[in-house]
Amino acid sequence: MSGREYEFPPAALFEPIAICPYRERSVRVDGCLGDWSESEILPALGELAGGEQYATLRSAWNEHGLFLAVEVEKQEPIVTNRQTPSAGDAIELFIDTRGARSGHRATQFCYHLVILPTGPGSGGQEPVIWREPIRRSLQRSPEPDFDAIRVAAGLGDDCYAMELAFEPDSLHGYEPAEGLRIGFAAVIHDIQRGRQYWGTAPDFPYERDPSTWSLLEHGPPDP
Amino acid sequence: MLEQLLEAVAGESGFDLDTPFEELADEHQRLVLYGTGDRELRVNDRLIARFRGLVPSIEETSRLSSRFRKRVGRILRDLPCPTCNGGRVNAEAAAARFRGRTIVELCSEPLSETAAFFSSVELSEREHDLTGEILEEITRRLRLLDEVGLGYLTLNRSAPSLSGGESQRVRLAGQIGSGLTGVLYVLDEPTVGVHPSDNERMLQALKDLRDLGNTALVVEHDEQTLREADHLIDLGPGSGPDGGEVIASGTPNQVMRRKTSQTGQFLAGELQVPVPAERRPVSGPPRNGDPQEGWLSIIGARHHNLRNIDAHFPLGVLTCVTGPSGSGKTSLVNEILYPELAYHLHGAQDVGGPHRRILGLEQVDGVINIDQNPIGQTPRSSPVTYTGLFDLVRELYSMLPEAMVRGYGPERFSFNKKGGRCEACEGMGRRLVEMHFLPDVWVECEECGGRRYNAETCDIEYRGRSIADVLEMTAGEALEHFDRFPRIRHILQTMVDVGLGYLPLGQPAPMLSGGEAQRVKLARELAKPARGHTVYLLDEPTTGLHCADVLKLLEVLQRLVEAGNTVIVIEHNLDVMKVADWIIDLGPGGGDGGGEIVATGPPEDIAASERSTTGPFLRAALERSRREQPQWQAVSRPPARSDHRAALEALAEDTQRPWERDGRAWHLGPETPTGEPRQWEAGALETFIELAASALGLEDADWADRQYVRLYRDGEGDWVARARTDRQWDVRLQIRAPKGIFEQSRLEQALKLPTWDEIDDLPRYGKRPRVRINTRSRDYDLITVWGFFEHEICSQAFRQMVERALQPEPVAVVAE
Repeated sequence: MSGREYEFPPAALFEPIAICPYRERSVRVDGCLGDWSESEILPALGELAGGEQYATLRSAWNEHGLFLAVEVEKQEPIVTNRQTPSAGDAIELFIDTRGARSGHRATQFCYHLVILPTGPGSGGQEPVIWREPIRRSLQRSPEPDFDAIRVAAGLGDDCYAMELAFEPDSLHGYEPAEGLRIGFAAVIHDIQRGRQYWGTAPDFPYERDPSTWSLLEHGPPDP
Repeated sequence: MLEQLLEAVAGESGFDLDTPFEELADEHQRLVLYGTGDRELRVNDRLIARFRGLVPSIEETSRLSSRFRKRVGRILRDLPCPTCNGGRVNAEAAAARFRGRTIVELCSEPLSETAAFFSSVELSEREHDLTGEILEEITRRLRLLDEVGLGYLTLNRSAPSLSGGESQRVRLAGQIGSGLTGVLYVLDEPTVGVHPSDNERMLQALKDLRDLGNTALVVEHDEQTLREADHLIDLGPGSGPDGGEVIASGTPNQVMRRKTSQTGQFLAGELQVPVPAERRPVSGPPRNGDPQEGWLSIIGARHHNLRNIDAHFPLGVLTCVTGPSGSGKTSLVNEILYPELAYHLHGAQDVGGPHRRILGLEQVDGVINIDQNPIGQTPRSSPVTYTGLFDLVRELYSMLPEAMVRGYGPERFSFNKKGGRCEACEGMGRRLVEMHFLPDVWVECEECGGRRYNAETCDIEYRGRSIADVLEMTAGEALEHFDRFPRIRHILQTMVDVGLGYLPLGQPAPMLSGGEAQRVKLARELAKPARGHTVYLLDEPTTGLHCADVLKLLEVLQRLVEAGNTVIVIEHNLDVMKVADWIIDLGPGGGDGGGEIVATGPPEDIAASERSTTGPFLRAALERSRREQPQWQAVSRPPARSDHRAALEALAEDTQRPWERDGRAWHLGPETPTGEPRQWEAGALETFIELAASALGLEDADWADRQYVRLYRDGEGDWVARARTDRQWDVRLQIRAPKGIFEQSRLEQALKLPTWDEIDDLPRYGKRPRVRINTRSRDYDLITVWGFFEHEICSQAFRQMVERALQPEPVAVVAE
């Protein structure tokens, strides 16, 4: 689906808060999206940023952590670039575990994570994740506990998928609870189709300003 | 998504999205403008949102990003604050009156009137004790501002909206007011944008400074200023490398006696801009606002201070719009005429200021506004790139034998692309060094010494000069250097013609003055093929020009007119006015005292006008000038491409590019064309070509291309097999096979090519198969193999695939 290009960014008109639904059973992080339900697809906020919409995001939470999935339509070979992730196929996540949205400078609760669907992992087939520093931060957040973050990628004929699970305390300050709001934005890089944004917009200084990220609210457990 | 969000806003607030904004209730208009605050709206069961409102989101976005600031700036207009009505002060302060006038009223009238008001105030003894000194100071400062020709400004005018000349004069008035002595004041062209009638007062202000015991050092071209100076220093004799010497020094009379001084000769009247003995004929202007052939008319112009005037511009001649500063020239030409022409002729977005209608548009094909805005914001933009000259120069360098031998294309000589530029500074010639606690500084790149290119690129020389040297050449030097190449010569000649002979070709755009930027733009327009019936608009093009250069510029403008175009110039320079075919003189004063057409007609009519402020000065200028009939030539056509090409090819006679000389060595060499080491095995390519050639019954392939090795059925027509060899990590092998004989999964199984991820020790990743069949074409299936190792291509399965794909029955193919 192709998005419209706007003269003034509609993303600036709204402060969206997407509901991250509760799920009883944790997601099996294996790169296969079979255990996700339709209701866990995040609203298509990327349309507010314009540009081509080729990726779908899913999210859910429970006491065991936060689960995210990104499904990217892709027919061409995946090309990744560790030095300059944006020059290849990559996903960038921006997470503020306290979701304040009030300050323009990152705090110790803000993270910028980069994930490559394939990379130099074992035999070059495993996804890679690392943390990038956030410029002009007030305080640098502690190193994420990568043992408590699980990542998997799955490759299909016309798409690839990434799954992530963040256990409690894997990111500083992250304690899943009903009603918790975290700052969240994602940028998907595709070497052929350019960038797709979720929860932020091009030209916003999202790499350094957490007030330009949207919010993800942990929804209530099903009655 | 946007629709859903907007519907949520409208639904929760109880209004309809189809209702026009003006018809919405006040509370709903307020909500659209200022948002829902902290109230959260439920959009659907997966999304909640706060609506910020237009005003806060525009404010917030403008603060976040300069790009949006610029973009949003186009749709925003400054309006007076509704609370203070633009007065800037609160109700209590606005209520205080002095002799019945509020501070807001006094600040919003032309300061000459404000000065008159304060001068006429008579104070009682008590009032004098209280306010006497303040009033004296106010009166003195207002008088100084008025004396430097700024009487038309209002005191509440914002500083950023002042022109360069106006700000300089405001500072000058401030300095005179400060009463300092023993100070050296340096002024750069203070008369820019000053009408001759204000010039005398400006000069008087400078003399006042001098009389206070100061020294005023003025860089100036204005004749009147030169005549009244106590001491002149004339530099020259030419510009750029031809200048740099003191030619004359002394009083104006002493300088006039120096025959070698061009300035002196102009002052003495030996050299001058002659008045044409016969001007181009102009039929009488239209009457009663009716359209008339040969005229472009703005009817009922009332933008800013224009008083509902009808302005008629004759077509096909040189028209000068004159009048004191603030009389409405810019409002008329740049803010009504240009936007309207651009809107109607080029579909531009902006429309002109208020006017009733514009007539005669059908007689004009285009409009070009040659303003003084910079030609670019980054050091990568320069006159040589802006005029299109660099493309030609790079092409020339790529045709030099040494460049051909090395396989350098035009892109090798670009400082914006990898390959030929210095990578340490990325072609900038300078590097930014971040300093803690201090502003960042730019230092010359140590790697290339500021030359922007790497050493290999600089090895290529034409007549002893490398591409880096070309950027340092002035336009005049380059004209001589490249005189064999007609299209390069044509552009350089126009640059020299507009008085830019001294300008280094690679001078970064941000370092050009407004006048230089304007003349670079003019040179670019002149170098283009003449179209005729185009309106050229120029705002003070003589800014910063010496009299000798004014003469050259006028010749260029006349050439444009001779080619059937219309040139409209806003100008205070009397040399331009006196050679114009037609003058529209606005005035009689500035600000509220202007906005009318005081006189219109040939310069002689203006000179005879009693109401015109310009008239007496023009009369004197006409009387001083000799008359002669110059022979202007129409602007020359750019030389034919074929002539230029022939000159380039003569350079490269008998020189073969490396792929033409030995294609096999080029494609199988150890480096890619961009200089990176080739990683794939040469045997992979050789084997593929052997297999394909043998299947096609050919002896060899066509190796004589920079990027591809191709094979043709029967040695002609469209290619049926090819290899792309310019990539570092793979050689891309392609075959056009008959439709339907291969199937993707079977071919993958047969070839057994591991994916990139499965090959250890290669920094190239991917899980995709390395063989793909593209079936989109009607006529063939395109098989692509990303090759790397020779043994993969030598396999039995690969050989069979090639033989089957290139079987003898010809495959109908279409061109790519």
